[in-house]
Amino acid sequence: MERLLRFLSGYVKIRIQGEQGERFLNLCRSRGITMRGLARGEDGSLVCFLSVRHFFLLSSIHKKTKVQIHILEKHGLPFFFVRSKKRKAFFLGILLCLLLLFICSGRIWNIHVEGNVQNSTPEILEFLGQQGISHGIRKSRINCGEIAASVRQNYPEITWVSARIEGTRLILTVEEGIFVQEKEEEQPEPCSIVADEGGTIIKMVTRAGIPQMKPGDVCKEGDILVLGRLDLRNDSQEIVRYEYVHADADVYIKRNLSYYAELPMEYETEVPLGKENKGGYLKAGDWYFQWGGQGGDGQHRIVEEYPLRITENFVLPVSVGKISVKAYEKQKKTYTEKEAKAEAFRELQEYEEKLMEKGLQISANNVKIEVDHKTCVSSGTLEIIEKIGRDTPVEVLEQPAERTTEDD
Amino acid sequence: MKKRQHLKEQLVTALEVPRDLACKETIVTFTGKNRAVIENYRSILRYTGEEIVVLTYQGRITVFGKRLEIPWYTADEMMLTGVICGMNLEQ
Repeated sequence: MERLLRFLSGYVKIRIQGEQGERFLNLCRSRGITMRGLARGEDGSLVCFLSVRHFFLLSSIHKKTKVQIHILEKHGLPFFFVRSKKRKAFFLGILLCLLLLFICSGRIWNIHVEGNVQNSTPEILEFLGQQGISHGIRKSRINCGEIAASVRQNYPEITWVSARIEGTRLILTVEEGIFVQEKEEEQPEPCSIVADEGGTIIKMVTRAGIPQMKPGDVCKEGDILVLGRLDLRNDSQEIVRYEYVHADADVYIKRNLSYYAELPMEYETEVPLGKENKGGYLKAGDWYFQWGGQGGDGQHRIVEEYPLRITENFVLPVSVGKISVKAYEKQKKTYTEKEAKAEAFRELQEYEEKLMEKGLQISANNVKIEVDHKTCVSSGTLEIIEKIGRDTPVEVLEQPAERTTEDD
Repeated sequence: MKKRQHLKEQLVTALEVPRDLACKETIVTFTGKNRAVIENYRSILRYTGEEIVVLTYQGRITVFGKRLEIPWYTADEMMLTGVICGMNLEQ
């Protein structure tokens, strides 16, 4: 602290030469002039550090003692300013920097949203933008309570919002509630379930309707699996009334799915030549400047773009990009028998994975992979288990006439 | 005069007032061989790189050494640094 004060007020290093050096020191002491780093030089002179204010008090002592005082060095801020008189632009820069800092610190440069899961940050930022809250807005124009209320009003799933300003950041903390939309009880249309694929039924779970088939039965496409009509009978097993329901059941069948794939033994591949041409570009709005990275035929061009952002969500319309152009050569190659079989097997596995993604199960694989001179042929069947069933309207029959004693 | 001095000393002893405050007695504090602080001095009589003679209220103090320097001094105390070899007290 003391050093800082000395630097701010400025100090000088002086050399005192003369007969009455000690008297000079005693006079300085009596007048409250403090010296630092007092040392006796080889030529008998005294060297010390003195503040600028105290230096100007030395004149009377100097006259009395008739010593010679030489300034050896000047240190501190006042001397720096004197030295930098010609550097006007430097001080102007500092002034501008301070001014800019002052102006910028009064604005919001980062809008941070936390706690949101259902509503994405860009979506909330867009909404805030519509409300006039964007990056660069003056702090005085922001009303945190209003922001919180408008967000809460616009997003009903947000149960709690807190908006606060921290420095030049506007922090929005939200909490989202979990709403379970209650399904309205709909009166389902009466329908039956028919088979949309043929095969052997292996499992059947009926929740509504009357099953028309049982596990082990073979069904064809269009066969009714579950009937959506209930025949209500009396004690004499006569139908007294028809009731219609929305048939609901899980029906699994087993069927064969044919598979055929041909893989030519000769194929074309891209072999990298090892040459890489790097470049980049600068994009600001519609303006685009590129250097290097010119691609053409027989070259792969990979472009990575990095938008410039000042803060987390404040993206500038300026982006820089990295271009990498790699040359390649197309070459014709031939699979060996082992390679061809491995490739064909890989394709088959991919096909099986796609089937499994659709919810099918594969119970057996009867595909054979054979290689001749020109092609590798994979053919056979896959035994799959799949869930079938399609809703179809049930035929509405006329209700049977009520029996009376007169009928007998 | 002697009687007055004696009375003052008795009073200082009785009141347990520090003697350096009451009688302006000099305190010399050495820290190792390289540093010394002299309190309650009157003036500097001689200052060279090998010897510093300080006048106190009780007499003279001479500090001998090599490359003696005074990093700071105020009206009441001063600090000496350098290679201190010895000290001499004179009435």
